[in-house]
Parts: sequence; structure tokens; C-alpha cells
Amino acid sequence: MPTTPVTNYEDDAYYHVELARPIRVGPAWLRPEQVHRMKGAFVKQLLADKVTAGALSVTGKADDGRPAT
Amino acid sequence: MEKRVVFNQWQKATLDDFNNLSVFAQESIDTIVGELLIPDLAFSGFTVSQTGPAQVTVGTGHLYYLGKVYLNDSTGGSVLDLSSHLPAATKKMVTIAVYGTEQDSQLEARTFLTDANTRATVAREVATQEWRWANVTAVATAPEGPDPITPTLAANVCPVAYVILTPAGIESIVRATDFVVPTLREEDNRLNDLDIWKIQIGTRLDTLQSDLLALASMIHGLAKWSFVHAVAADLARVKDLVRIPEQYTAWGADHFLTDAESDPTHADWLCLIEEGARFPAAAIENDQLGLLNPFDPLVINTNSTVLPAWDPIQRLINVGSDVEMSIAQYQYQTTSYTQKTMSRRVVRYGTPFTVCTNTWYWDEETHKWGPGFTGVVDYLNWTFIRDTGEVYNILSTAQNYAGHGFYRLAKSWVDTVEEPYWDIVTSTHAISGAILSESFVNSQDGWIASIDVFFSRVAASGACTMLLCECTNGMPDVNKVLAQSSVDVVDMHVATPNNMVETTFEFEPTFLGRDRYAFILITGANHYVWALSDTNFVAGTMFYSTDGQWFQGDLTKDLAFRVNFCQFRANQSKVQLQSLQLQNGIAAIELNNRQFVPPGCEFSFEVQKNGVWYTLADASNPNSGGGPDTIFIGLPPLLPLRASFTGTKDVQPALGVASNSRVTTWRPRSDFTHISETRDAGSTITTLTCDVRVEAWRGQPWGSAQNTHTLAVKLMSGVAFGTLTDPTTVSEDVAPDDPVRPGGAVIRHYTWTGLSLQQYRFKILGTTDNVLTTFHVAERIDVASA
Repeated sequence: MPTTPVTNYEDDAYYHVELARPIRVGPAWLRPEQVHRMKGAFVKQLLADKVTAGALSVTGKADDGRPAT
Repeated sequence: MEKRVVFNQWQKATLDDFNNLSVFAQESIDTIVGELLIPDLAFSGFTVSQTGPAQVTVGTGHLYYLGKVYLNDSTGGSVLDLSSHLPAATKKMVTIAVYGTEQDSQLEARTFLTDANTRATVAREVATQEWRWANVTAVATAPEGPDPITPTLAANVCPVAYVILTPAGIESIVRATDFVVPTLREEDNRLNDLDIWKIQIGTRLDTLQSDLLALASMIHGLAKWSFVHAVAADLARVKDLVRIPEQYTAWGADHFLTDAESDPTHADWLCLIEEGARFPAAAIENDQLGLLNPFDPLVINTNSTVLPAWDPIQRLINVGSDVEMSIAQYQYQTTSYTQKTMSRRVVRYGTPFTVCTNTWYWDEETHKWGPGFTGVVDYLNWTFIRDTGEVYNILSTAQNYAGHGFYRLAKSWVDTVEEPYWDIVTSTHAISGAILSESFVNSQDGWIASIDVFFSRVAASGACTMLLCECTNGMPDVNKVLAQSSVDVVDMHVATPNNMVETTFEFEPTFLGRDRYAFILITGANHYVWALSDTNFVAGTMFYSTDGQWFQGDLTKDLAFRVNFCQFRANQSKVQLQSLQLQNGIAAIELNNRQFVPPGCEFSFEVQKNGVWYTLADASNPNSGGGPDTIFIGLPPLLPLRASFTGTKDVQPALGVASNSRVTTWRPRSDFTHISETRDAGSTITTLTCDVRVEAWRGQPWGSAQNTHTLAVKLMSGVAFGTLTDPTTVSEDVAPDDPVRPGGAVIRHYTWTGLSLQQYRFKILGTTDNVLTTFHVAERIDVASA
């Protein structure tokens, strides 16, 4: 469940996402039991799609789990 | 002819006699025709042609029925008017048929004798010939119709043509070829055609049975379609489980066993490939393993082979002075021999050596890990032999194959060879002189120190060399020499029957297992040795050689000799070695040295930390999964090192301290960068997924308290692969087979969408905030979709 409602998504920033049901991204399925981080631009796409919008809840900003290059 | 009419001189012939002249001939021809040629019904000739709208003319011909031949040779043919058979509306079939009758013919006047006495005669008209006549007729019993049928004929009536009539007249005439008598010419032509066919095809038919047999045997091993279908269904399920989508265009996997699918020449490369992609070294120091005190009384160092202190003891004695043997009586020859070396042991210790699950991928018969890395697995030696000739040891978590042992514990990797002396590393020598040899059986493990022989006469000059070797098929084998020793003439002693003074050939202590061995004396001088004749030394045989390779046994004699082994003074010894050091701290130790640990013995390295000695084994540090190691906490720059020998008075471990026994101390970097080889999807792709398995993981998703590791995968594309693209989504699973938190394994799924590219690379970046807790990447699987 969202702890910090996000309204303005930055396209290149990452966000923690929780799923209520599996959704398909390309050929792969993303499942609720996984930990997800997604780019803001892609989150906006998912939210705009009525098929996936209901499965999505964004909990806040995230890093990309990386070292920066 | 079966019958013949016979006439005699002055015989009166009767009427039957004359008639039989033709009757017998006719019967014979009937028999030939009926029983050999045409037994049933047939015809020849009788060509049917249309000579009017509803009229046909049948030419001359012969009818054959039950052996009888009937003729119709009507001049101009037989004309048949079919007008009466014309159908009213549709079609009608008329069969032109022939049948045979016997009838008198050629009525002519003949003179008959009426009175034998007066010789009076009278003229009468009689048939002078009897013909078998073929009567031609038209048969049309079938009713008319659009598809008229053939009329039924009596058994003795032969059809010669079928005429289809319409109301306007004859539509068609079809010859009844089924009843045409075959001629010998036609049959000969057919047989000639058959001969040609047989030549062309027959040879293939001759082998047809063998071919069928071969096919049958091949089919015998084939699986049934139902089975193949079941296998295909299972494969489809497996593909589904491994998440290969239907529309994939390219896929690949790298288990990081080799750099075959990596690009270590890339400018950004900063990675160690060793059963996983790992953190590379930040600093390395490599030194020779050596005794801290070269004169340590606890050990004896012989030619850089260290054993716990020992004294020689006689274990095998065969002494006597029956006969003298001149070594020089045998051929002077040059012997090339190959000396084996003590096998090696590698101990690697430290947190960088977290166990990787990818090792089991070595276990396949052949592999192709991308271009340039193909070869075959040698199961006998448990090695992978690359096509280029390189040989790789196959490592696993706990394997022991064909004498080669590998142990993968949490932070301690041990690779050993159970053979005391191996031929992986050999040295080849040549020595000249006459040869005399004696084999013996060693029934107890031990370290041989020396062999005594007894010279009865010693020449003025000329050294004598002794080779200690293994036996093959009971014979000394100069290609398996374990040790060698030479004695100068000044050190040789003359032994007499009353005073058997030995001459000792000392060896670097050499381990002999329970097996058959031999020593070989080689000298160019005229030395004599004592031998025993007809002894009961059944454990060995004396040999001489004529060509440096092949040995001939002499069962009547045995050389006099004595074998001395090491008897160790203590069961357990600990000897201090040169300390380990590395500027700015040690995080890992790698000891690669000559070493052999006999069965029942133990050997270990120990390091001292804060006054406490720790064994470099997994037991002292049960924390698997890359946690900080007790020994290396604080990154000590100097660690005292000692070797611990444990055995019995007869056998002990040995340690090599020559220049090829090395110790490496190193410390990993806190970051690594792995660059994959170029991946080419073959066509433009839009979506890319990349699954990465990370082991000994202490980063997300296990909270900030454990967040010591980071990992990112970026897509390299564009000109010179200079464009870096972050994934659209990153999802994470805890690996079900290693869910330990922290320190277990996670599987990360990276997805890129909206792409338009064909060639790409992956850049894997990792960091740790503590070089004592590292992780490794065990596997990368990527799938591209159009």
C-alpha cells in the first residue's frame, strides 16, 4: 500500500512498485511476490493503461540498486 | 506325333489307314496347341473395320478353342450388317464374335469301285475335305442405354471386337485384345524387355533383403511417435518454466566459468572470472613458501621437501654374497627416463572464495560456451580439455574423482591430487651405462630414505647412478622414475662375505605406497655387486636391459640390497613458516605448493591472529555466505603462518618449500565491472530481459541494515556501445534454493522496453562497502524479443 502518494513522476527516476496481480512487461511476467522498481516514465504508461492500472501501487522513490557509472 | 500309320510291302491298306494319316497329325497338333500354347479361348486376325454406316467387315483369322484351330478365310472378309441392332434412342453394344464348327467342304466328284470282279465304277460327289470353320457373328443381347454393357457370350464363343452403335450408326469399334493370341515374337520382345529391366533393377533387388534387414535393425532402435511426442511436450513445459517466450529472437546464458562470453579486453573491464564474476584484486603479494627457521629441529628439509624430523630404519633386507655380478657385462646403453614430481595441493582461503553454484555446469560431455571455448570433458581425470590444448580442472562443491579431489567450503577451497607423484609435471633425463635392476614389493606405506647395495669390486673410476621407479607389468618402468641418486667411486665401499659393508644411495624422501617398485643401477665403470642365487626372495626379480627400455628378468639371481625408510620422531609437529604479509591488509590467502598427505595423515596451514592460531579451513568460520571472517577482520597486514603435520611414526605429510611452492595474499577491490561479449540478436529487437543470479548477497531486498552490496545491469548499445541504458523495470526474487538472509542468493530480472537495436552488451556493476564481504554473479540469462 502506498505510504507516500506520488503524483509527479520523473521519467528517469525509479519508484518502488507493488503489484496486486501479475502483469506482463514485454515477454516477461512480473509477479506480486517480487520486489519491483520501475522507471517513472514506465509507471505512467502502466497507470494510463486500464488493464494494468488497477494492479499497481507506487510506494515511493527508489534508487536503481546500482553503483553510478 | 503320338501315333503313326505304318505301311508294309505288298500290304493292302484300309480306309482307316488312309484317314489316320491326317487324323493322327491333327490330334498331335491339337495336343500341342491345347496343352502347350492356347489351352482355352483366343483368336488371331479377324480385323474388324467399318465398311458402312451400320456395316462392318471382319477379316480372315483363326480361332483357338480347347486346342482346336478354326479358320475363316472368306474372300473379302465376312460382312455383317448391324442395321437390325441399331438402338432407338441411346446406345447399344454389339459384340463381333467367332465360334468354331467342323464341317465338310470341297464337294467334288470322285469315282467309286462298285464291283471288284468287273472293276465297274460309279461317280459320286463327296466332300473331299473336312474344315474347322470359324463362324463370324454379331451378338447383341444387351438392352440399349447410355452406358451399354457387354453382352454375355457362351463359353465357346470368342469376342473379337466390341462395336458401339448409336441410332445414326457405328460410333466406335474396340478390338477385344484380351482374347488376341500372343505370338512368340511378341513374347520374345517382352522377355527382352524383362532382361533389360532385370539388368537395370535386378542387382538392386538382389540386395533388397539385406537392405530390409538393415532398415529393420534401424527401426528397432527408433522411438515410437507417442514417445517422441511425450518428450516434445515435456520440452515445451521446460521452456515454459525457464520463461523463454514464444516470440524470442535471441537468447544466451553465461555461467562465468570462463571468460569466453566476456570481454576482458574492454577498457572498462574490472572483474575476476573464477566460478562466477567476482571482485578483482586491489593488491596482491606473491612469495615463496619457506621455513621461518631453516634449521628448525622439528623438521628435516631435504632438497626443499620438508618432513617432520625422522631417522632411517631398515625395513626391507635381502643381503647375501653368493655370486658376483659384473654390471659392465651387460650392454652399454643410453637410458632416457622420465622423473615424476610430487603432486600439488592448492588451499585458497578467504571471503572472496564464496562457493558458486555454477560449477555443476562443468559436468557435461561437451560444452560450447560461445566462440572459442569448445572441448571435451575427460571423466577419467575430471578435467575439461579445451580444443586449444588447455586443461581445466573441473571443480565442484565436494567432488572426488580418479584421485583428484576438490572441496568447496564456505570460504576454503582445497584442490588435491591423491597420487603422491604425478606425470603432469615431469622432467626427462638421459644417462649412459650398463644396467642392472632389482624389483621389490613394498607392503607398507612409507617414505623411503635410501637403498643400500653391496659392491664386491669397485673400479678405479666411474660413478654409479641409482633410479627408483615404479613397475609396469612387473617390470621396471624408466618412464615412471620417482627419485635418483648417484654415488662417486670414492664413496663406494667394497663388501666381502665376512664384512658386508654397504654403499648407500640416499634419496630425497620419497613416498612409496603398497605397490611394486624397482631400483636400477646404471654405471659405465666395471663395478661388481653381490647377488644371491636361487634365493627365496619371491617378492622381486633381478632384471637387465639391452636397449634402455625393455627389461629381461633373471629368475635365478637377486641383487643384495637393503631398503631404508624414514621413522618419524613425533606423531605431530608444528613448524613455523615465513609470515604472510600484504600492504594495507590481507583479505584472502592462496597457497599453491608441492604437497602430499598420505592416507591417515593430516596437514593444515594455520595463521595466528591476536595470539590465537586459526586453521585455514571452513570449520573455524561457519558463517557461510560471505560474512566477515574472524581472521581477516581488521585487514591484518601481517599474519604468522605455520604448518601442522599429523601422522604416525611411519607416515607423515610432506611439504614442498622450493621456488614452485608459492603463497599469494591479496585483497579484493570494493567494486567490479563486468562487460559481456557482444550479443547479436540477428534482427531488430524491441524488448530485452536479463536475469542475473547473485550469490552471497547482502544487499536489497533485506533492508538498509544489510545493505552492503549493490548491483546494477546496464545495456550498452549504439556506436562503439557507448550508449548506456538503464532497465525499465527491475524485479527481484529470493532464490528458492538458497533463501538464507543475508548471504543467500537472489535472482534479479531486468527488462528494457521500447528498444530498437540489434547488437548490444551488458555491463554489470557491483559494489561492496566492505571488502571482507563480497558477492559474486553466478549466472546471466538474457532473452531478446522482436
